[in-house]
Amino acid sequence: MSTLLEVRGLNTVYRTPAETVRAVDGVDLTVERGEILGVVGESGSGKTTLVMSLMRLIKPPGRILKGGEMLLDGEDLFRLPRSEMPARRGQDLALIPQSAMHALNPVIPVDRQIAEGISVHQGVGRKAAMRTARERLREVGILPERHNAYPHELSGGMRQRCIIAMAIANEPKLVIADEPVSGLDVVVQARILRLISELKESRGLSMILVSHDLPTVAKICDRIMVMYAGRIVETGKARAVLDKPLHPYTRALVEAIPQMRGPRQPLQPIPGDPPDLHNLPPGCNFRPRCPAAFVDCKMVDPSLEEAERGRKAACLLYHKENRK
Amino acid sequence: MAQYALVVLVAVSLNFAIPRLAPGTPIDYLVPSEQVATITPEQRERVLAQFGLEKPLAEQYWLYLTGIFQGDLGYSTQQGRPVVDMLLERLPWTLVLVRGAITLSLIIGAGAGFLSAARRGGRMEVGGLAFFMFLDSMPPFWIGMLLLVLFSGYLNLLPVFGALPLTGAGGGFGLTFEVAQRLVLPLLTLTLVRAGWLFLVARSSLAGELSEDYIVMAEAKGLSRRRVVLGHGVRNALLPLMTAVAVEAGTVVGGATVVETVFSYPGLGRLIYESVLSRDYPVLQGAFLLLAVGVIAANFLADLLYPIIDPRTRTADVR
Repeated sequence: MSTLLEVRGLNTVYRTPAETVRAVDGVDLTVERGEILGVVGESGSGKTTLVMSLMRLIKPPGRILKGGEMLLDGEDLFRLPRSEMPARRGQDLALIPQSAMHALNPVIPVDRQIAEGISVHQGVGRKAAMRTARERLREVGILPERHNAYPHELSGGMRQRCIIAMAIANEPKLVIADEPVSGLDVVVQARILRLISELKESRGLSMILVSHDLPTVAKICDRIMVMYAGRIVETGKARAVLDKPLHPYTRALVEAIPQMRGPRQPLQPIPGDPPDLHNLPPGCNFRPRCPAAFVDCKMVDPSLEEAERGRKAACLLYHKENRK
Repeated sequence: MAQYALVVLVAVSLNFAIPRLAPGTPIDYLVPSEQVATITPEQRERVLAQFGLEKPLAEQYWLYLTGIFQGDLGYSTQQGRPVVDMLLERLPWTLVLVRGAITLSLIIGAGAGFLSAARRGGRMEVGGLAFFMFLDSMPPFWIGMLLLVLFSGYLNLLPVFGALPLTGAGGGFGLTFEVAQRLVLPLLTLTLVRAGWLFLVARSSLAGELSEDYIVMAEAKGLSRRRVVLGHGVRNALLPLMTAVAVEAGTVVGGATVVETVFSYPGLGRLIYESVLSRDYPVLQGAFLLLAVGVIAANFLADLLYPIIDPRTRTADVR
């Protein structure tokens, strides 16, 4: 596998006269070709800001700080002039946004909405674009007689399929999905996730999949990154992270998953409040909620370092000097 | 459709009822006030009979209804002329003025409003917002008077009042020019007054649409900002605007009353004003009927247009 996307030092801040909030704080990530990278974190951890930063769709007062790099196939998209981004969006990078229910224009039939993006990028006529759009709709399992439906005539799951068809319309290098199954009922969630895995197999799709739902993501992702307060706190193979979480936060996330088998046990919530980006504690961001915290955690802000082979964690427990 | 017929019937009935609910008797306005006390009962009967007012109420109502369908709205108590003739004489002037004002204010107000929403936060935008909010809060007669003083008084560019030259300047192009010249100020006044409101509607509705999720998706598809705003945002923002225009159709005529009076423009609005002063009830009734039907027609038109621009309002049988 070769590397498709390499992001280094991504910082996105929201700057108001009163304060500056670092919603994405020094994130590095890579996506290999044909791989699904899962990004997991609770609400407010900076997931959506990360997604919008990668699409370069951050709106003021949000800003991507200079100095970061986003190499897609070796080309730094952060260096492109803003005016060149529309040509890349949908073509190099495609988005599956949060809230599929509202991501379709209510007054345009879905096939035309998909065709619009195709004719813009491929410079083909309306008819050819419509043909391609319909092919994509078939590929995601929308019956031909529904192709010219308006969004309000479709169910949530069908709308999500249309959004996916829209995202893959121009065979993008990378698809970025922000909570692609939130707001859908469980059965539909499972179907959409299966569709995504199928597309990954059939098209060799490379993808970043963002979710707050660790077990769901783990099922279809190759690797996982856990975000907390705008930072990456742990990375590793999906299975490995789920089986043996390293960072105390990831461990708490895994323990909070209700178990279907075995004796009934009370759910284990993570104590404390989600991080307040306006007011982060000194030292490690997770320390106030961390059961394993010790004295140094108050002073040292842990960097993301290799903890095991192919595993990284941003926790002092795994820093070399502390390992037994 | 049946609903609209019902609404028209209610409007007609109210129109019949209101002058009859007003305090005083018809004699009070049919006869000059200094003579009311002195006329004999026979004279009184004769005057009432002239206007069919001696008959029982039910019969009056029936005559009123059937009259409308025959194009008979009664006679002016002041001029003795058929009300229909008087209305038809004034209607074209008001139509020119009101249609022109709606079209222009829509182009200026909604155009600027959309632009402003698309460029939110810019310096131009803040200035534009202040300007149009100012316009929206100004009373029409005041703007009219200011324009009158400025253009006709100080600059002496445009005629002060009327719609036709007093001298009756020939015909053809000369006349057209004279008429157009006299239309400028009332049209400008009415346009400015309406533009403020339409600006606010257009701006807030597009600003609302631009914060929707489908706008993000349209941008993520790789459309240019321009295409996103025009093809997706404005397309959806048209809906509230259309409702506003339909409502406008009614209020503009109200606004026209004031503006026409300020400029002595011979439209319906001015006729209403004159009739109020002279208590010419039949003319007032006729004018109100015309307005009511006009507003209802505008709403009906809007209802027909809705499904065309918003598929969500389509019912099964339309599609």
